[in-house]
Amino acid sequence: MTGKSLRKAAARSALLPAAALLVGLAGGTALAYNAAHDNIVLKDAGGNNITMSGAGNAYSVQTTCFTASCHGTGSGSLAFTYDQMEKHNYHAMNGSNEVRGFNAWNPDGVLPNGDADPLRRGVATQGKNWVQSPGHVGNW
Amino acid sequence: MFKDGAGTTYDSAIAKYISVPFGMTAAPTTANPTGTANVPAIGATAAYEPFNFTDAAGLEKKADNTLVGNMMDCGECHVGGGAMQYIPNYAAASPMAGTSNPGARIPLRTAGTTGGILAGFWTTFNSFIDIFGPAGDGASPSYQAKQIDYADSGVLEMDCLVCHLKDYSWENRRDAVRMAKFDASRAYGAGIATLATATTDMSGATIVTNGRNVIYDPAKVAFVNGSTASNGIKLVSAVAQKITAVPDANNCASCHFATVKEKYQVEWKKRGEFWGGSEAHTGIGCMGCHQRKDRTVNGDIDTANVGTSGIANSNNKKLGLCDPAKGADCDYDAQWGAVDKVAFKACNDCHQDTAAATATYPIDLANGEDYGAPKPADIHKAFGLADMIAYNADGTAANHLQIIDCTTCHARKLDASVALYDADGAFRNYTTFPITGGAMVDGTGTDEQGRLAVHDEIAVEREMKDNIALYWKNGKLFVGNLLSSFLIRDANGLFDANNDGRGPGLDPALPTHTARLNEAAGLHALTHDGVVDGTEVATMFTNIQTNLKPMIGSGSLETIVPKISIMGVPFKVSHNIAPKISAWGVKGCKECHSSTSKFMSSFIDISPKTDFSWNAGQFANIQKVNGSTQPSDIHAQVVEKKGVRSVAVNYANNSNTDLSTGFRDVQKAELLYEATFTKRDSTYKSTITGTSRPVPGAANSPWYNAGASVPGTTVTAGWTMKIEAAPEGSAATVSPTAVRTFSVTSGTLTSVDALITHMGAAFTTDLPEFTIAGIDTNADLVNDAIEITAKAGFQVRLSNQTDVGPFGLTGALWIADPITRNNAYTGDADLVLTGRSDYLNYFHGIGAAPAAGFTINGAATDACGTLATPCAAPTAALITFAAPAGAATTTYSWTFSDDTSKNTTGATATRTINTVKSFTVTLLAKNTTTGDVTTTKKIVKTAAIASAALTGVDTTATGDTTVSLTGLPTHSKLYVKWGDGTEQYVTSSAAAIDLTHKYLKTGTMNVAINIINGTTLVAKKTCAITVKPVITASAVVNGTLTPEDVTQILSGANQTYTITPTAAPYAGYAIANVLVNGASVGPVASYTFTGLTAPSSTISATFKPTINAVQTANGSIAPAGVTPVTSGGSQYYTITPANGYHVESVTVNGQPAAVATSYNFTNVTEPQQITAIFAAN
Repeated sequence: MTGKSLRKAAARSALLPAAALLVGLAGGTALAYNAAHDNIVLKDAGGNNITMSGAGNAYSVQTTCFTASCHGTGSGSLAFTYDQMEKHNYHAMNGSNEVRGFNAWNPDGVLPNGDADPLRRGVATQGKNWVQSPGHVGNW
Repeated sequence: MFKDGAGTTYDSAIAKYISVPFGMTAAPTTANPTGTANVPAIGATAAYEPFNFTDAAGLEKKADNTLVGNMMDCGECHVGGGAMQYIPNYAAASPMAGTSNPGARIPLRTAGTTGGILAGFWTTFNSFIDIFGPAGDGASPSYQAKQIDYADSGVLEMDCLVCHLKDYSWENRRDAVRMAKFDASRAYGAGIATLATATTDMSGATIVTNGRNVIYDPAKVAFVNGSTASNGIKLVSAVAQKITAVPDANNCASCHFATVKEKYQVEWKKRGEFWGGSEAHTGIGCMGCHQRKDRTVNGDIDTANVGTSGIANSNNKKLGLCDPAKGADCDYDAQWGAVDKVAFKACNDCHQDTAAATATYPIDLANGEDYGAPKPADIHKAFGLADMIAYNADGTAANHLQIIDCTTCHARKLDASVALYDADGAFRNYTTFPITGGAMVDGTGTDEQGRLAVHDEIAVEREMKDNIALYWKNGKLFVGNLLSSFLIRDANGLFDANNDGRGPGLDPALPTHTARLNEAAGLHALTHDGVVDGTEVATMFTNIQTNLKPMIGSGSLETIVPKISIMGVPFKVSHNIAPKISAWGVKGCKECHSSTSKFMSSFIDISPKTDFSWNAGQFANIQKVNGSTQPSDIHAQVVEKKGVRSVAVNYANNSNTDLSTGFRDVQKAELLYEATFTKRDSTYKSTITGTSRPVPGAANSPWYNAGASVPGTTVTAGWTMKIEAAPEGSAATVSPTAVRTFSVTSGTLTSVDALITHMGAAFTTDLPEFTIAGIDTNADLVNDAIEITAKAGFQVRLSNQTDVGPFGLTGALWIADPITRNNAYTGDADLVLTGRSDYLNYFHGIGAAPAAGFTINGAATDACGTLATPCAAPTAALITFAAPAGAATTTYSWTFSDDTSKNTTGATATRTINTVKSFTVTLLAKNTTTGDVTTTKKIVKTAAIASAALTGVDTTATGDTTVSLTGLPTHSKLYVKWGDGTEQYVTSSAAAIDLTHKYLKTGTMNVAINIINGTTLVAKKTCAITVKPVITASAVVNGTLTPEDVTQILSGANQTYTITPTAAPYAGYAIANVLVNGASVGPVASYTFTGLTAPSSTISATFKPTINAVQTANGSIAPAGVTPVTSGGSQYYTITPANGYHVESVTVNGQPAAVATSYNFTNVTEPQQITAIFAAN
């Protein structure tokens, strides 16, 4: 067998009731217009105003949204900083907050102080490193 | 990832494994109380030091997916931030407390650039294996180690707009990250710019085509405050208006399930396709359920519940501000986390009548947070789902709702259609499009986009209708997509095939290595063309055996022994909630509880779209579960209902580890119930004795290692013994006071003695609770088994983490665990089920239509019961009607047309009918679970009892009348009616008996005898007895009475007696008197009893003598003739001669008497005679 297979069924997309799905799932989501998002100057990773072009002109959410008068400085949910949102967020942390290292397996699950390991013990069977961590970070 | 914080350190003094904290390379132990601090070369003072692979070659040899590779692949969906932006780098002591030090994190943006801390090092944070090639499309990957310069690529900051910008382009983001254009991915994904592939922007200014630059679209951005570029740009209003506080469902869908352009997303392979409009919750969108509940009633998040930092673990379960609530329920799901299910709006939150009082965050029904969801309590109750007729894992009563997750019945994965609802929501047409999901992940090669495994192509998909699995989680039944990852491993445990520094175990070949080897040899993933056969497998094996060692630089003498292995994982099917008309059970209990149901007994096609076979010796089970006692191809955390034991399932055709030639279909029940129900023996014992075990290296050892440089050398490393101890006499429920663990570190132990020596005195003799020694079980002077002996004051037991299989301790840990299911409805004995086969029979029998054909006194009634051919039943004997053996939930009721007072319930009914008659018997059998009713009607006719002749009847009433009964049925007493008005009970159980009776009257007596057993008349006998009058003629003297002696006559008949005096001597006797029944009837010569009925009569006669006066001539004697004389009386005679004559002589009784003219007889007792002779004067 040589050459790449073209078995991937691009044509199957036509069979997919995805259009109905997308339309249907849109229901229940309120697209409330928030005028506060108008006139927000896009900033680059260095916090500089983006002037259409220039070195490193890709805008940064971190510097654009989390400014002195917006996210991270207000009340309620606006009080939370980028760090606070990102440092304890499973979509953002991608498992890295629960990874131990090369081997998450401990049959006793004991910390040096005698407490139970707050990370799961025995989550991966010894030698089965392909399931050793959430997100498969560290090994495949 | 990290040099420190990896693995465990063994403290032999206490026989425990201690997790190594970050900041250390060895944990503190008794012998080394301070542990061994890491001396970091990277990140000078911090813990979490990235592991250094040293150079490109080191990375290529050892690493697979790095963090950078993760950003370029997984980053297409993951929003950035975390390790895609920072190196986790906590203060040394912080991880111990589960807290973090935000300031200590090191930004990748600076760490990975020239002069950064990663410079000069090859780590997961700045290096990757090139799998996508320069165009990011997988067309020409080099599979070489490369390093990234974040100054050029930017980093994956958390991009809020992935979720919060409607119409965000997942495809754009994917294309950007695969080319490491990380900063650019945000603007490109948002659709406000293109990647900087051109050299000038729209204003003509020069632009750098790296990952930090984009070309903005003037239609999507505008200058702030006019047209002055220096003021910066902003989103045009049309774009800004698409920023949503609550993510649009399509944003979720772009990663979590099918989109128009990319059907096979991560969630597709795990949970399968969605069916669009027919999903019952389509209208509320993803966030309808996933919007967290830890909110106040006015819709704002209660900020006190927001986690802002730190490791999410059992001590820190707050969701972050932007975390949607997760609904996961799979420990083995790659995305599991401590915040799974926290504040998740689960089914019962909306679908219940009242807010759950015990819920931490009950939803506000009054404010419509339930979306007006249907409240199924009543219909569930109507279907019996709230009845306590099911069982918890511990055998206690439960209802269906308590042991079955909502999705199990309501997520059917039927077929999809574009026409799904009619006006009232009742019509469905699921026939148009199949719902598909991942059947396999083929880890033997890359997919067409360069991903390291094939998981999204037709060859590895399945149609999910009736092809999804069930599994237990915490004693509750869930439905899941059985996704099976298949890969190639090295079965020689002495060779470190994945180069992770640990030889033991069947190492998987690293996917990057496999991909690289395949690329060089022109091979592809095995499922590439939809056909896998032994020849193709052998070709791939040969390639690995030939080229892997040189590629990873291994100089090992061990032989690589490639094997195909597969591991099944049922991922929870949490979506595709079917309308209620499609839920399991909506058609009744039999949808699940019948042998034809697909709920539990249908089969899952492991490899439906690929023709899969292999040669003998090419397959090996992924693992042995339950203490290394059972080979299994299913994840070890797929457990039986009690959650103690793994369910061992073998995919291969003949369930053998190595000889199979293909996959078989797996019955759903196999993932739920063990073939033999087994439990842990948790009793504490003074001695635990193992069984003889093969020498580890022997060919019959499960750990025989054909590929070892010394063939047969076993792989003992990793075997773990964990012993629990408690004070002597402790009950099994008592928690151990000490738990001691030892894992074998040598891979080449070949005897029990070697094992004991390897464990050392620290584990075998020095611990306070027990000793371990080898014993000789077969008297060959070689120790071949293990014995654990508790020390004084203790008893011990094995933890179920012990590898009892290879240690020969299986029987000391696992014992049979038959379960009992109540059979109360029929009154039959409870059902004892020993394993899956028994259980399925029981489970399916619950819903079987009840049988109602009954027997009569044990005889089948199949061929009778009609008017023409009624079923026969005995008369005057017990009739037992018996229902057939039925399920535990079957009830019975009997109706009798002849006597409704006899109607009854239960598996049997009895009647006793003393007359011959026909009647209808109706048996109604009801399955109380399903409500099914079966009715049987039979016409029954009783037969007459054949009366045996009674013998020995005395036909007179002068004495006892005897009735002899023989051949009596079983009885306890007799009830006798003698026919003369008298009755009596006779207590007797004898089979033959004589009954006596004295009649006091004559005539025909109709005797009726009821033969009774207990209170039941079991037989009846009758006869007519003629009782005759008896006349007794008394003996007489001096005469006769004819007939004489005893005379029987028919009752009411006449009987004449003749009385005749004796005629001699002389004139003889005369009748003196006749007595009838003692009363004189006079001296009658004849007497007749007329119409005699008296049982007994007498007749007698008396006689008296006579004197005969013989007359002669010439005179007379007076009285003349014969004169009766009362016996003993006197009689005077006058003798008178005629004139002229005189008495010449007198003769009395022939004797001369005195001549006289008179004679007086006295005391006459006999007949006399007197004669006188006259002579003339």
